[in-house]
Amino acid sequence: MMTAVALCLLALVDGAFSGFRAFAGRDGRIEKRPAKIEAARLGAMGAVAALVLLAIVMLGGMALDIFSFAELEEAGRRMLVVYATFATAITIGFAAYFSPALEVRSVGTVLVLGPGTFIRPLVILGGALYGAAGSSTSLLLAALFAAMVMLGLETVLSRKYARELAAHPF
Amino acid sequence: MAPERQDRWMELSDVIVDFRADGSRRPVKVADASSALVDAPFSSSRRLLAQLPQSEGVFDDGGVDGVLLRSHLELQRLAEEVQHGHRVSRLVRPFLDLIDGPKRVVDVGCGLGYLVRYFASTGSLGDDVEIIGFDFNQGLLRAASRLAEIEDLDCKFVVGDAFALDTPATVYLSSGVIHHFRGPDLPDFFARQHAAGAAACFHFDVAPTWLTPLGAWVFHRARMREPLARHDGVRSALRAHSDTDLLDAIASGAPGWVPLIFDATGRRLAVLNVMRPAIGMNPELVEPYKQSLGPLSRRLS
Repeated sequence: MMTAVALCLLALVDGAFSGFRAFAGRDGRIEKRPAKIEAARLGAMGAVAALVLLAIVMLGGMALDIFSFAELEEAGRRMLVVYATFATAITIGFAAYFSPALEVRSVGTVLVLGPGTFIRPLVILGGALYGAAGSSTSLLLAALFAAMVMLGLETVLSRKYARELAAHPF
Repeated sequence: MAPERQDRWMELSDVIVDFRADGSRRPVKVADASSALVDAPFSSSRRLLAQLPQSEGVFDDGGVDGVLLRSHLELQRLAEEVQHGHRVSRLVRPFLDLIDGPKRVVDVGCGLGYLVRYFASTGSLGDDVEIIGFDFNQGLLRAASRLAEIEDLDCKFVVGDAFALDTPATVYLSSGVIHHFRGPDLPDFFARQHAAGAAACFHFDVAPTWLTPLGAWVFHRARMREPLARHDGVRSALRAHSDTDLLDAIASGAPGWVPLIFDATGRRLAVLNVMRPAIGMNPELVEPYKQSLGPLSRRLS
Protein backbone atom coordinates (compact mmCIF):
# COMPACT_ATOMS: atom_id res chain seq x y z
CA MET A 1 0.00 0.00 0.00
CA MET A 2 2.91 2.32 0.73
CA THR A 3 4.01 1.88 -2.87
CA ALA A 4 0.65 3.11 -4.12
CA VAL A 5 0.75 6.08 -1.76
CA ALA A 6 4.26 6.99 -2.87
CA LEU A 7 3.31 6.75 -6.56
CA CYS A 8 0.25 8.91 -5.94
CA LEU A 9 2.36 11.56 -4.22
CA LEU A 10 4.83 11.58 -7.10
CA ALA A 11 1.92 11.87 -9.54
CA LEU A 12 0.57 14.87 -7.64
CA VAL A 13 3.95 16.62 -7.72
CA ASP A 14 4.38 15.76 -11.40
CA GLY A 15 0.90 17.14 -12.08
CA ALA A 16 1.78 20.39 -10.34
CA PHE A 17 4.92 20.75 -12.44
CA SER A 18 2.90 19.92 -15.57
CA GLY A 19 0.51 22.75 -14.72
CA PHE A 20 3.39 25.14 -14.20
CA ARG A 21 5.05 24.17 -17.49
CA ALA A 22 1.78 24.47 -19.41
CA PHE A 23 1.40 28.01 -18.07
CA ALA A 24 5.04 29.06 -18.42
CA GLY A 25 5.89 31.08 -21.51
CA ARG A 26 2.33 32.34 -21.98
CA ASP A 27 2.16 35.24 -19.57
CA GLY A 28 4.44 38.18 -20.29
CA ARG A 29 4.08 39.92 -16.95
CA ILE A 30 7.14 40.26 -14.74
CA GLU A 31 5.39 39.53 -11.46
CA LYS A 32 3.11 36.52 -11.83
CA ARG A 33 3.72 34.35 -8.81
CA PRO A 34 0.00 33.96 -7.95
CA ALA A 35 -0.70 32.82 -11.52
CA LYS A 36 2.17 30.30 -11.36
CA ILE A 37 0.84 28.90 -8.09
CA GLU A 38 -2.66 28.69 -9.56
CA ALA A 39 -1.26 26.82 -12.59
CA ALA A 40 0.53 24.36 -10.31
CA ARG A 41 -2.65 23.90 -8.27
CA LEU A 42 -4.62 23.23 -11.44
CA GLY A 43 -2.00 20.69 -12.50
CA ALA A 44 -2.20 18.93 -9.14
CA MET A 45 -6.00 18.87 -9.41
CA GLY A 46 -5.62 17.35 -12.87
CA ALA A 47 -3.37 14.72 -11.37
CA VAL A 48 -6.04 13.91 -8.78
CA ALA A 49 -8.54 13.41 -11.58
CA ALA A 50 -6.04 11.23 -13.44
CA LEU A 51 -5.43 9.17 -10.30
CA VAL A 52 -9.18 8.64 -9.81
CA LEU A 53 -9.41 7.43 -13.40
CA LEU A 54 -6.43 5.13 -12.94
CA ALA A 55 -7.81 3.80 -9.64
CA ILE A 56 -11.05 2.88 -11.40
CA VAL A 57 -9.08 1.05 -14.10
CA MET A 58 -6.91 -0.80 -11.58
CA LEU A 59 -9.78 -1.69 -9.26
CA GLY A 60 -11.81 -2.76 -12.28
CA GLY A 61 -8.95 -4.96 -13.44
CA MET A 62 -8.74 -6.61 -10.03
CA ALA A 63 -12.52 -7.03 -9.79
CA LEU A 64 -12.53 -8.78 -13.15
CA ASP A 65 -9.51 -10.93 -12.17
CA ILE A 66 -7.45 -9.47 -15.02
CA PHE A 67 -4.61 -8.87 -12.56
CA SER A 68 -4.13 -9.27 -8.83
CA PHE A 69 -3.24 -6.73 -6.16
CA ALA A 70 0.08 -8.53 -5.65
CA GLU A 71 0.93 -8.10 -9.35
CA LEU A 72 0.03 -4.43 -9.18
CA GLU A 73 2.07 -3.97 -6.00
CA GLU A 74 5.12 -5.59 -7.59
CA ALA A 75 4.78 -3.53 -10.79
CA GLY A 76 4.28 -0.38 -8.74
CA ARG A 77 7.36 -1.10 -6.67
CA ARG A 78 9.48 -1.41 -9.80
CA MET A 79 7.97 1.75 -11.28
CA LEU A 80 8.73 3.55 -8.05
CA VAL A 81 12.43 2.72 -8.36
CA VAL A 82 12.55 4.57 -11.68
CA TYR A 83 10.33 7.49 -10.72
CA ALA A 84 11.87 8.03 -7.29
CA THR A 85 15.36 8.12 -8.82
CA PHE A 86 14.19 10.70 -11.34
CA ALA A 87 12.39 12.70 -8.66
CA THR A 88 15.51 12.72 -6.51
CA ALA A 89 17.57 14.16 -9.36
CA ILE A 90 14.94 16.83 -10.02
CA THR A 91 14.78 17.68 -6.32
CA ILE A 92 18.55 18.24 -6.27
CA GLY A 93 18.28 20.45 -9.36
CA PHE A 94 15.40 22.33 -7.81
CA ALA A 95 17.34 22.87 -4.60
CA ALA A 96 20.25 24.25 -6.64
CA TYR A 97 17.84 26.59 -8.41
CA PHE A 98 17.08 28.29 -5.11
CA SER A 99 20.72 28.72 -4.16
CA PRO A 100 21.80 32.31 -3.50
CA ALA A 101 24.72 31.86 -5.93
CA LEU A 102 23.77 32.53 -9.55
CA GLU A 103 26.35 30.04 -10.81
CA VAL A 104 24.90 27.24 -8.66
CA ARG A 105 21.43 28.14 -9.92
CA SER A 106 22.77 27.83 -13.47
CA VAL A 107 23.98 24.33 -12.77
CA GLY A 108 20.54 23.34 -11.46
CA THR A 109 18.83 24.77 -14.53
CA VAL A 110 21.25 23.75 -17.23
CA LEU A 111 22.24 20.31 -15.99
CA VAL A 112 19.09 19.07 -14.31
CA LEU A 113 15.82 20.95 -14.79
CA GLY A 114 16.02 21.57 -18.55
CA PRO A 115 17.30 18.12 -19.50
CA GLY A 116 14.93 16.63 -16.89
CA THR A 117 11.94 18.08 -18.71
CA PHE A 118 13.40 16.86 -21.98
CA ILE A 119 13.68 13.23 -20.87
CA ARG A 120 10.53 13.17 -18.68
CA PRO A 121 8.34 11.44 -21.31
CA LEU A 122 10.99 8.74 -21.72
CA VAL A 123 11.28 8.32 -17.96
CA ILE A 124 7.52 7.99 -17.52
CA LEU A 125 7.17 5.48 -20.35
CA GLY A 126 10.36 3.67 -19.35
CA GLY A 127 9.17 3.37 -15.75
CA ALA A 128 5.87 1.91 -16.89
CA LEU A 129 7.58 -0.61 -19.16
CA TYR A 130 10.11 -1.58 -16.48
CA GLY A 131 7.36 -1.89 -13.89
CA ALA A 132 5.25 -4.18 -16.05
CA ALA A 133 8.17 -6.14 -17.51
CA GLY A 134 7.53 -9.87 -17.18
CA SER A 135 3.90 -9.30 -16.19
CA SER A 136 0.78 -10.10 -18.17
CA THR A 137 -0.06 -8.16 -21.31
CA SER A 138 -3.09 -6.67 -19.59
CA LEU A 139 -0.93 -5.28 -16.78
CA LEU A 140 1.54 -3.90 -19.32
CA LEU A 141 -1.33 -2.16 -21.10
CA ALA A 142 -2.61 -0.79 -17.79
CA ALA A 143 0.85 0.57 -16.92
CA LEU A 144 1.20 2.18 -20.34
CA PHE A 145 -2.28 3.65 -19.99
CA ALA A 146 -1.25 5.19 -16.66
CA ALA A 147 1.87 6.64 -18.28
CA MET A 148 -0.10 8.09 -21.18
CA VAL A 149 -2.63 9.67 -18.81
CA MET A 150 0.13 11.43 -16.90
CA LEU A 151 1.81 12.56 -20.12
CA GLY A 152 -1.53 13.71 -21.53
CA LEU A 153 -2.23 15.93 -18.54
CA GLU A 154 0.32 18.54 -19.60
CA THR A 155 -1.01 18.50 -23.16
CA VAL A 156 -4.55 19.16 -21.94
CA LEU A 157 -3.44 21.98 -19.65
CA SER A 158 -1.21 23.41 -22.35
CA ARG A 159 -4.17 23.65 -24.72
CA LYS A 160 -6.17 25.48 -22.07
CA TYR A 161 -3.45 28.12 -21.60
CA ALA A 162 -2.91 28.39 -25.37
CA ARG A 163 -6.63 29.11 -25.81
CA GLU A 164 -6.50 31.74 -23.09
CA LEU A 165 -3.51 33.45 -24.71
CA ALA A 166 -5.20 33.38 -28.13
CA ALA A 167 -8.33 34.93 -26.63
CA HIS A 168 -6.45 37.64 -24.68
CA PRO A 169 -3.07 38.34 -26.34
CA PHE A 170 -2.53 41.55 -24.33
CA MET B 1 11.21 42.74 -51.08
CA ALA B 2 13.57 39.84 -50.64
CA PRO B 3 15.70 39.71 -47.51
CA GLU B 4 19.22 40.28 -48.75
CA ARG B 5 21.45 38.70 -46.14
CA GLN B 6 22.06 35.00 -46.56
CA ASP B 7 24.06 32.62 -44.46
CA ARG B 8 24.13 28.96 -43.72
CA TRP B 9 22.28 29.13 -40.41
CA MET B 10 19.77 31.85 -41.27
CA GLU B 11 17.00 32.34 -38.73
CA LEU B 12 13.42 32.37 -39.95
CA SER B 13 12.61 35.53 -37.98
CA ASP B 14 15.21 37.31 -40.14
CA VAL B 15 13.46 36.49 -43.38
CA ILE B 16 9.73 36.60 -42.66
CA VAL B 17 9.52 40.29 -41.75
CA ASP B 18 10.98 43.35 -43.42
CA PHE B 19 10.81 46.68 -41.60
CA ARG B 20 11.53 50.17 -42.85
CA ALA B 21 13.50 52.53 -40.60
CA ASP B 22 10.26 54.01 -39.24
CA GLY B 23 8.96 50.58 -38.28
CA SER B 24 6.44 50.28 -41.12
CA ARG B 25 6.46 46.97 -42.95
CA ARG B 26 7.08 45.86 -46.46
CA PRO B 27 5.17 42.76 -47.56
CA VAL B 28 7.42 39.67 -47.68
CA LYS B 29 6.86 37.07 -50.36
CA VAL B 30 7.20 33.48 -49.24
CA ALA B 31 9.30 32.70 -52.32
CA ASP B 32 11.75 35.49 -51.45
CA ALA B 33 12.10 34.29 -47.89
CA SER B 34 12.61 30.76 -49.11
CA SER B 35 15.32 31.86 -51.54
CA ALA B 36 17.13 33.57 -48.65
CA LEU B 37 17.36 30.12 -47.08
CA VAL B 38 18.90 28.59 -50.17
CA ASP B 39 22.07 27.66 -48.30
CA ALA B 40 20.27 26.21 -45.29
CA PRO B 41 21.56 22.67 -44.86
CA PHE B 42 18.23 21.24 -43.71
CA SER B 43 14.90 21.29 -45.48
CA SER B 44 13.20 21.75 -42.08
CA SER B 45 13.82 25.51 -42.36
CA ARG B 46 11.94 25.74 -45.64
CA ARG B 47 9.23 23.38 -44.38
CA LEU B 48 8.63 25.58 -41.34
CA LEU B 49 8.54 28.62 -43.58
CA ALA B 50 5.77 27.05 -45.63
CA GLN B 51 3.72 26.46 -42.47
CA LEU B 52 3.74 30.10 -41.37
CA PRO B 53 0.57 32.20 -41.89
CA GLN B 54 0.42 33.41 -45.47
CA SER B 55 -2.03 34.37 -48.16
CA GLU B 56 -1.48 34.29 -51.92
CA GLY B 57 2.27 33.83 -51.56
CA VAL B 58 2.79 36.69 -49.08
CA PHE B 59 3.25 36.34 -45.32
CA ASP B 60 0.24 37.49 -43.34
CA ASP B 61 1.37 40.31 -41.02
CA GLY B 62 -1.16 39.57 -38.27
CA GLY B 63 -0.50 35.84 -38.33
CA VAL B 64 3.28 36.30 -38.35
CA ASP B 65 3.00 38.78 -35.47
CA GLY B 66 1.09 36.15 -33.51
CA VAL B 67 3.87 33.61 -34.10
CA LEU B 68 6.53 36.14 -33.09
CA LEU B 69 4.60 37.17 -29.98
CA ARG B 70 4.27 33.56 -28.82
CA SER B 71 7.95 32.97 -29.60
CA HIS B 72 9.01 36.02 -27.59
CA LEU B 73 6.82 34.97 -24.66
CA GLU B 74 8.65 31.65 -24.67
CA LEU B 75 11.96 33.48 -24.93
CA GLN B 76 10.96 35.49 -21.87
CA ARG B 77 10.27 32.25 -20.05
CA LEU B 78 13.81 31.09 -20.84
CA ALA B 79 15.22 34.44 -19.72
CA GLU B 80 13.30 34.13 -16.45
CA GLU B 81 14.58 30.62 -15.90
CA VAL B 82 18.24 31.55 -16.38
CA GLN B 83 17.61 34.75 -14.39
CA HIS B 84 18.87 36.87 -17.22
CA GLY B 85 17.62 40.11 -15.68
CA HIS B 86 19.77 39.54 -12.62
CA ARG B 87 22.75 38.54 -14.79
CA VAL B 88 22.50 41.81 -16.69
CA SER B 89 21.82 44.12 -13.77
CA ARG B 90 24.71 42.78 -11.68
CA LEU B 91 27.08 43.89 -14.46
CA VAL B 92 25.36 47.09 -15.60
CA ARG B 93 24.41 48.54 -12.20
CA PRO B 94 28.05 48.88 -11.00
CA PHE B 95 28.76 50.85 -14.19
CA LEU B 96 25.77 53.14 -13.83
CA ASP B 97 26.77 53.82 -10.23
CA LEU B 98 29.92 55.50 -11.61
CA ILE B 99 27.92 58.05 -13.60
CA ASP B 100 26.65 61.19 -11.92
CA GLY B 101 23.20 62.57 -12.67
CA PRO B 102 20.39 61.07 -14.72
CA LYS B 103 21.21 58.04 -16.81
CA ARG B 104 19.58 56.50 -19.84
CA VAL B 105 19.72 52.79 -20.62
CA VAL B 106 18.61 51.70 -24.08
CA ASP B 107 17.78 48.09 -24.90
CA VAL B 108 18.40 47.60 -28.62
CA GLY B 109 16.08 45.11 -30.32
CA CYS B 110 14.14 44.67 -27.09
CA GLY B 111 11.33 42.58 -28.61
CA LEU B 112 8.73 42.08 -25.91
CA GLY B 113 10.80 44.26 -23.61
CA TYR B 114 11.40 41.70 -20.88
CA LEU B 115 14.65 43.27 -19.68
CA VAL B 116 13.28 46.80 -19.79
CA ARG B 117 10.22 45.79 -17.80
CA TYR B 118 12.32 43.69 -15.41
CA PHE B 119 14.54 46.68 -14.62
CA ALA B 120 11.50 48.92 -14.19
CA SER B 121 9.77 46.38 -11.97
CA THR B 122 12.71 45.52 -9.74
CA GLY B 123 14.53 48.86 -9.75
CA SER B 124 17.69 46.80 -10.08
CA LEU B 125 19.54 49.44 -12.13
CA GLY B 126 19.20 52.01 -9.37
CA ASP B 127 17.57 55.42 -9.14
CA ASP B 128 17.47 58.15 -11.73
CA VAL B 129 17.72 55.72 -14.63
CA GLU B 130 15.50 56.12 -17.68
CA ILE B 131 14.90 52.78 -19.38
CA ILE B 132 13.89 52.65 -23.03
CA GLY B 133 13.34 49.69 -25.31
CA PHE B 134 13.81 50.04 -29.06
CA ASP B 135 12.67 47.68 -31.78
CA PHE B 136 11.40 47.86 -35.33
CA ASN B 137 8.56 45.41 -34.69
CA GLN B 138 5.52 47.49 -33.78
CA GLY B 139 3.46 44.43 -32.88
CA LEU B 140 5.93 43.33 -30.22
CA LEU B 141 6.32 46.86 -28.89
CA ARG B 142 2.54 47.26 -28.59
CA ALA B 143 2.49 44.10 -26.48
CA ALA B 144 5.48 45.33 -24.46
CA SER B 145 3.78 48.68 -23.79
CA ARG B 146 0.54 46.94 -22.83
CA LEU B 147 2.39 44.66 -20.40
CA ALA B 148 4.17 47.65 -18.86
CA GLU B 149 0.80 49.39 -18.53
CA ILE B 150 -0.77 46.34 -16.85
CA GLU B 151 1.97 46.34 -14.22
CA ASP B 152 2.21 50.14 -14.04
CA LEU B 153 5.90 50.12 -14.90
CA ASP B 154 7.93 53.26 -15.52
CA CYS B 155 9.57 52.50 -18.86
CA LYS B 156 8.90 53.21 -22.48
CA PHE B 157 9.15 51.55 -25.85
CA VAL B 158 10.00 53.26 -29.10
CA VAL B 159 9.79 52.10 -32.71
CA GLY B 160 12.80 53.05 -34.77
CA ASP B 161 16.52 53.69 -34.74
CA ALA B 162 18.02 53.42 -31.25
CA PHE B 163 21.18 55.24 -32.33
CA ALA B 164 19.52 58.48 -33.42
CA LEU B 165 18.46 59.89 -30.05
CA ASP B 166 18.30 63.57 -29.15
CA THR B 167 19.63 62.76 -25.69
CA PRO B 168 22.44 60.19 -25.90
CA ALA B 169 22.12 56.89 -24.11
CA THR B 170 24.49 56.26 -21.21
CA VAL B 171 24.51 52.57 -21.95
CA TYR B 172 23.30 50.49 -24.86
CA LEU B 173 22.54 46.87 -24.19
CA SER B 174 20.93 43.94 -25.94
CA SER B 175 20.21 40.25 -25.47
CA GLY B 176 20.50 37.70 -28.24
CA VAL B 177 20.77 40.39 -30.89
CA ILE B 178 24.40 40.71 -31.97
CA HIS B 179 24.62 37.38 -33.77
CA HIS B 180 22.17 38.85 -36.29
CA PHE B 181 24.91 41.27 -37.39
CA ARG B 182 27.25 39.55 -39.83
CA GLY B 183 30.40 40.67 -41.60
CA PRO B 184 30.94 44.45 -41.69
CA ASP B 185 27.56 45.03 -40.03
CA LEU B 186 29.02 43.91 -36.68
CA PRO B 187 31.76 46.56 -36.27
CA ASP B 188 29.34 49.09 -37.73
CA PHE B 189 26.85 48.18 -34.99
CA PHE B 190 29.41 49.10 -32.33
CA ALA B 191 30.57 52.17 -34.26
CA ARG B 192 27.06 53.63 -34.29
CA GLN B 193 26.68 53.28 -30.53
CA HIS B 194 30.00 54.92 -29.86
CA ALA B 195 29.25 57.69 -32.32
CA ALA B 196 25.89 58.21 -30.62
CA GLY B 197 27.76 59.22 -27.46
CA ALA B 198 27.20 56.24 -25.17
CA ALA B 199 29.69 55.67 -22.36
CA ALA B 200 29.45 51.89 -22.68
CA CYS B 201 27.63 49.00 -24.23
CA PHE B 202 26.80 45.56 -22.85
CA HIS B 203 25.62 43.11 -25.50
CA PHE B 204 24.69 39.68 -24.20
CA ASP B 205 24.60 36.72 -26.50
CA VAL B 206 24.98 32.97 -26.45
CA ALA B 207 28.53 31.84 -25.68
CA PRO B 208 29.67 29.50 -28.49
CA THR B 209 31.16 26.62 -26.51
CA TRP B 210 31.37 23.02 -27.70
CA LEU B 211 28.26 22.32 -25.65
CA THR B 212 26.18 25.23 -26.95
CA PRO B 213 24.43 23.63 -29.96
CA LEU B 214 23.42 20.52 -28.00
CA GLY B 215 22.37 22.55 -24.97
CA ALA B 216 20.36 24.95 -27.13
CA TRP B 217 18.63 22.06 -28.86
CA VAL B 218 17.71 20.31 -25.59
CA PHE B 219 16.51 23.51 -23.94
CA HIS B 220 14.48 24.70 -26.87
CA ARG B 221 12.86 21.27 -27.25
CA ALA B 222 12.12 21.16 -23.53
CA ARG B 223 10.95 24.70 -22.99
CA MET B 224 9.48 25.99 -26.22
CA ARG B 225 6.43 24.97 -28.18
CA GLU B 226 6.44 27.36 -31.12
CA PRO B 227 8.28 25.66 -34.02
CA LEU B 228 9.83 28.98 -35.13
CA ALA B 229 11.16 29.61 -31.62
CA ARG B 230 12.69 26.14 -31.46
CA HIS B 231 14.23 26.53 -34.90
CA ASP B 232 15.65 30.00 -34.39
CA GLY B 233 16.85 29.24 -30.87
CA VAL B 234 19.14 26.50 -32.13
CA ARG B 235 20.21 28.56 -35.16
CA SER B 236 21.14 31.49 -32.93
CA ALA B 237 23.43 29.21 -30.92
CA LEU B 238 25.09 28.07 -34.14
CA ARG B 239 25.51 31.67 -35.33
CA ALA B 240 26.87 33.08 -32.08
CA HIS B 241 30.05 35.09 -32.51
CA SER B 242 33.29 33.98 -30.88
CA ASP B 243 34.91 36.12 -28.20
CA THR B 244 37.67 37.06 -30.64
CA ASP B 245 35.22 38.20 -33.32
CA LEU B 246 33.36 40.36 -30.81
CA LEU B 247 36.49 41.92 -29.35
CA ASP B 248 37.84 42.62 -32.85
CA ALA B 249 34.53 44.14 -33.93
CA ILE B 250 34.48 46.52 -30.95
CA ALA B 251 38.14 47.42 -31.46
CA SER B 252 37.70 48.17 -35.15
CA GLY B 253 34.19 49.67 -35.03
CA ALA B 254 34.57 51.71 -31.87
CA PRO B 255 38.30 52.31 -31.37
CA GLY B 256 37.50 54.86 -28.67
CA TRP B 257 36.17 52.09 -26.46
CA VAL B 258 38.05 49.41 -24.54
CA PRO B 259 36.72 46.00 -25.63
CA LEU B 260 35.99 43.48 -22.86
CA ILE B 261 34.38 40.07 -22.48
CA PHE B 262 32.83 38.78 -19.28
CA ASP B 263 33.23 35.02 -18.80
CA ALA B 264 35.33 34.47 -21.89
CA THR B 265 34.77 31.11 -23.55
CA GLY B 266 37.13 28.52 -22.11
CA ARG B 267 37.72 30.32 -18.83
CA ARG B 268 34.81 28.60 -17.13
CA LEU B 269 32.90 25.37 -17.36
CA ALA B 270 31.13 25.41 -20.70
CA VAL B 271 27.87 24.45 -19.03
CA LEU B 272 27.85 27.65 -16.95
CA ASN B 273 28.30 29.97 -19.91
CA VAL B 274 24.69 30.59 -20.83
CA MET B 275 24.84 34.18 -22.07
CA ARG B 276 27.91 36.37 -21.79
CA PRO B 277 28.31 40.01 -22.71
CA ALA B 278 30.67 41.75 -25.07
CA ILE B 279 31.41 45.10 -23.47
CA GLY B 280 32.69 48.33 -24.94
CA MET B 281 33.60 51.08 -22.47
CA ASN B 282 35.16 54.52 -22.33
CA PRO B 283 38.80 53.96 -21.28
CA GLU B 284 38.73 56.25 -18.23
CA LEU B 285 35.85 54.25 -16.76
CA VAL B 286 37.40 50.79 -17.06
CA GLU B 287 39.40 50.79 -13.81
CA PRO B 288 36.65 52.44 -11.73
CA TYR B 289 34.23 49.89 -13.21
CA LYS B 290 36.43 46.99 -12.17
CA GLN B 291 36.57 48.36 -8.64
CA SER B 292 32.82 48.94 -8.60
CA LEU B 293 32.24 45.39 -9.88
CA GLY B 294 34.24 43.85 -7.05
CA PRO B 295 35.18 40.14 -7.22
CA LEU B 296 33.25 39.70 -10.47
CA SER B 297 35.88 41.86 -12.20
CA ARG B 298 38.21 38.83 -12.18
CA ARG B 299 35.96 37.35 -14.84
CA LEU B 300 36.53 40.26 -17.24
CA SER B 301 39.08 39.84 -19.98
